Amino acid sequence: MTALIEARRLSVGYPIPGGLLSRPRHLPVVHDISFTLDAGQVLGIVGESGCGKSTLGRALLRLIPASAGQVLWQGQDLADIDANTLRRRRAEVQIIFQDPVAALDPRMTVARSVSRPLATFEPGLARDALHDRAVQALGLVGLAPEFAGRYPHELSGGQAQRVGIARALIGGPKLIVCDEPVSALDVSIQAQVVNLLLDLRDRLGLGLVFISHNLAVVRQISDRVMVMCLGRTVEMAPRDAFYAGPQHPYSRALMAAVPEPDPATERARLGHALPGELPSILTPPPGCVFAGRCPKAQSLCHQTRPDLIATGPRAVACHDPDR
Amino acid sequence: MTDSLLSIRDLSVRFALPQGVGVAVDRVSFDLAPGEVLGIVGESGSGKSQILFALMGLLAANGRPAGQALFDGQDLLALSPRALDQVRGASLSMIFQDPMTSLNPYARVGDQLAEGLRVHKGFSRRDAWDAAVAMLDRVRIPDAAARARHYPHQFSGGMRQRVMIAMALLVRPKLLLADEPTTALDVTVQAQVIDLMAELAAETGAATIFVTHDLGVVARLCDRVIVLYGGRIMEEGPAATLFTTPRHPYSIGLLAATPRMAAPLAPRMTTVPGTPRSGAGGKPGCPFAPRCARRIDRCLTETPALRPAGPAARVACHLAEVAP
Repeated sequence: MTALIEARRLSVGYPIPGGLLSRPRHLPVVHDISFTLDAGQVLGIVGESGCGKSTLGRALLRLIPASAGQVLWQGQDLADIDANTLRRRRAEVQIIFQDPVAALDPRMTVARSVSRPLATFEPGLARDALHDRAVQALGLVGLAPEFAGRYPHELSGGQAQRVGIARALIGGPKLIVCDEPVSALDVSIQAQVVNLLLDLRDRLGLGLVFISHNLAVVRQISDRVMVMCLGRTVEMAPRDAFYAGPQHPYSRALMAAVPEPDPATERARLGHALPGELPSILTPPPGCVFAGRCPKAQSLCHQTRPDLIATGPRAVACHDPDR
Repeated sequence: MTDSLLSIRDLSVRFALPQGVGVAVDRVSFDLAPGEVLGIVGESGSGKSQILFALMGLLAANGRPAGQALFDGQDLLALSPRALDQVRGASLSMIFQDPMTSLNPYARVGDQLAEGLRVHKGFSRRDAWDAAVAMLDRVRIPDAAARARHYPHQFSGGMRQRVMIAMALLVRPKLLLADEPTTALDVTVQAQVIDLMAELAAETGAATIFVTHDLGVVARLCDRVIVLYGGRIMEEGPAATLFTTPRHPYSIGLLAATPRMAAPLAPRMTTVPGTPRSGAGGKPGCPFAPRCARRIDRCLTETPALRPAGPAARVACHLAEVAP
């Protein structure tokens, strides 16, 4: 079976305009990312700010061009698809964003926002048909038909995110890239949205790329987890194996830093924060991206970047992984 | 309680809105002992930040506080702007969620720190600068003497928050108000900032009110917890017992909906149905009643009083009275 989506040694960067004395440059942000994802599967991508996880998400939709490597949708290289066909085929791969209210046009009713993609995917639909399809999509995300006539300012954050999901669903996608979809939501609402995404995965056989900084949420939804640091994959593993025993010291540090609502555990963690900050993406270190903060770094780690080495279903980029 | 540093009685915050009056905080009362670290948790619209803004006299122009907030024997809500200025910056400090917008982008970090000491503590320019550099060093800003000459944009997010903490604690306040100070930070940096706040609170003896939506952060840092919903206190108690044996249906629901890495996985997350409402305080009944699975008729008509429930704990729930 062909994978729903495949990234092959994908690298992405941004152009930096030149100044009076400097030439325009290319700033690499995402390096050499490879993975495949099948229908009905969820890949969780975790990392801290600036690790390139959102850039990767956008490159998977070709909202940003790849600077090297390939993205394949059901076996077909995105770069080989002409712009017109690509626009139609965007119905297959959709995205939802972190700030659900900002992602909606404040002057459009919910029904208009939700049905808007159909103007591209299925041009020529009558107004009634558009409205019916919007109501249908709202039903999928658990919003009653009366929401169709509302405006974004009348929605709570959770409801707005459901509208964003309905808009992503209306073209009948096979894959949704979720870029921090619950980070802006309250805890009680976050759980509702995660469950909704899991229900949609089951009912529609959707594949999901779930990008988040929250390791505890990623555990709830993912089949596989990829940890990114400074634009690179440092670890990739099936969910249960990953949470039972992360192999990269960075993954371990991230896990220890997530506060849990348990005073006994947390009191023991107080005073043990890992010192230092991650290096800037503008000046990446020559060796391992985590060497500067790693409690077990050797001189080799500062000099030579470890390759991502696969062992069975897991892969880790560390000279001395925890096994 | 005579040994309280801060004693809040029936604090309400009302906002004049085009559609009427919105009640963000509804008759909230609690005490804080010197050196105590209190966490106030709540979701958006619970009124948690408005409590701090009311104490600091920083409410938006259409907001009005009512009630009493005795701090060191003075009612903060009754002080003239000039008298409140004397308290703020001298014995009452606040740190905010976004350090970039609370630092002056045009002033060197060292000058911003030193200002408080010169204005409130009568330090000379030279002494204030030296104290500022020493404090930056204390919050582990590398090469503090040189960094004091830098501007806020030259610092990373985590460093900026450490600068804010340095600024707030430099005047040795008796009370530090912290409004979601780690929410904008990455988890590894958040852990550093929490460690730093705990160390400095112990070192300076400052009492702290830490407002957050993150139960995990409260579990790590706070002695005591207040759970706020719809502008009212739902439950209050020592962190050690409230997290293990919550009594109020809202606290129970909130804890169950918080994902944990150590807990066994279920096929779906536990949810609290419904949507939080904001500005709806002041109406009869329990604010959580519309979302509460255990609601009885009385919950919709009669606001439950906050009653003692075990050692140092209080809960506002009609059901807790019947079946503890």
